[in-house]
Amino acid sequence: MPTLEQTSVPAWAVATAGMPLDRVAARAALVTFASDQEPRRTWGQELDHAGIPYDLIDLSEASKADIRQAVGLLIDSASVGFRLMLHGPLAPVLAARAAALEHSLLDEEIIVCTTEVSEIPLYCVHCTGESVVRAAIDDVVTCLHCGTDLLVYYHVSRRQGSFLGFKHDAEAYELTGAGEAA
Amino acid sequence: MSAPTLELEIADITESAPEVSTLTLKHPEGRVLPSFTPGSHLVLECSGKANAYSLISDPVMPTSYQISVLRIHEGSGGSRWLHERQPGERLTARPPRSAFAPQLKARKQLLIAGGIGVTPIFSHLRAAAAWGIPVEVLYAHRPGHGAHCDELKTLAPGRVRCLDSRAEFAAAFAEAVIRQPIGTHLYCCGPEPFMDIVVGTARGAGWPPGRIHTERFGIDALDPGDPFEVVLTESNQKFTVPSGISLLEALEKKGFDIPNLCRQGVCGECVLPVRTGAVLHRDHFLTEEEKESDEQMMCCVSRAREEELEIAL
Repeated sequence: MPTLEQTSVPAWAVATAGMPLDRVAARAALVTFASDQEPRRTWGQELDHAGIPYDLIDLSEASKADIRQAVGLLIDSASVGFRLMLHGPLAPVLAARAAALEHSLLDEEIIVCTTEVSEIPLYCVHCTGESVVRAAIDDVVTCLHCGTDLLVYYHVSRRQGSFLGFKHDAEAYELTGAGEAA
Repeated sequence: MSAPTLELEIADITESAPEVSTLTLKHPEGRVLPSFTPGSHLVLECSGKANAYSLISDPVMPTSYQISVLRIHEGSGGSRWLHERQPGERLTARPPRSAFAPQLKARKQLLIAGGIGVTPIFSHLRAAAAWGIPVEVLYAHRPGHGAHCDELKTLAPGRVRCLDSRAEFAAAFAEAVIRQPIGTHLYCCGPEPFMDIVVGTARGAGWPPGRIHTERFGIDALDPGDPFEVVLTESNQKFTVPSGISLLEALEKKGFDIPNLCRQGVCGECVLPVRTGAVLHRDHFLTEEEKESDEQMMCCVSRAREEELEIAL
């Protein structure tokens, strides 16, 4: 595997990490997917201290589709100067980032803090389903939709908001019945 | 290595504003010219000098190129020479080069022009109008010196403001910069102090650098600089670069064929590796980190900060 910097996998997707606040922001939305007070205590205090107005939005119970829709609506009504701050477990954070990028936000306008990365969203290239599974890069896990054993590849799709998974032994020769070697 | 060149014939010359000539250039045999990306420029050979001018004409399979040239009295003479040309005369140009391309994902373009910096903005506006991208233009110019105002307003009716006072422009920009929808990209071209104010105001309003695009052509003449010594470590030469002569010109006089294009610190072609010495960086190509490291320099505009530079050449 190449080093993480040479892949599309963000550092905050393999280890919990938080980016610093952008103090030139004109306005921010603090979206949390963790049902605790942590973001209000940390980023919220910093935003208050920096005099940056913000909205705190709790999407801890939202589905991926709802997250994408809510984030899209949030961005479409914003002006340049806005920063989207995402706080919570990896899967909803990646879903929200994908929606933000789709709605024209730049990487530098998205500030991320992951609180949990052991469960990852994994896209199955065979059935196009997405499973949220406890796994890491190079693990082989079963697709929850089609049952295929998938290798977790070192690629995170910015568009899908998920890791890439594909059949780990697609090229392996299968010995079956009459065809078995003597 | 020299870039391929184009021979172009001057088909027409008109005055777009006082001291601004618009030249229409065609292939001598009427052929279609290379297409270009909006915001591109031509480098023209002007009596031994190379000047870059933004293309303002239609970029797709063009049968002509148009440029607008401001006569700069205190400049190096290239613009004055172009102003003396007549229809029918020929010019040598390098093919169009893109260093100020539009962002394809932009949902809206906020186009800001100062003075003759309107030329690449004109090109961007033409493309935005063709592609149906929402646009807003603020064009600051001296009273009576607005070039292409009518054409801009025709391309984007109701979306172009030509402002002939600094206070009026400052107020209009301060109001515009805080109400742009997400997805807007800002493009700015004009004199250096003008662009510094625009970029500073936008950054102050929370615009990230990725949404701000500037075209920094050397329309402000650089000072001639102090003389300095150059040591070429590979070819064992040492000579003095006098005031008013660039290191690139000095090397060319010594017979070195240094790749170059814009000769104004923009394109990055003439980069040279620096062994030792502090560089007075005056280009717009290297990043701040690269400039701080003093490991390379753009020899068309940059000079020595101290008495001597060692170049690996």
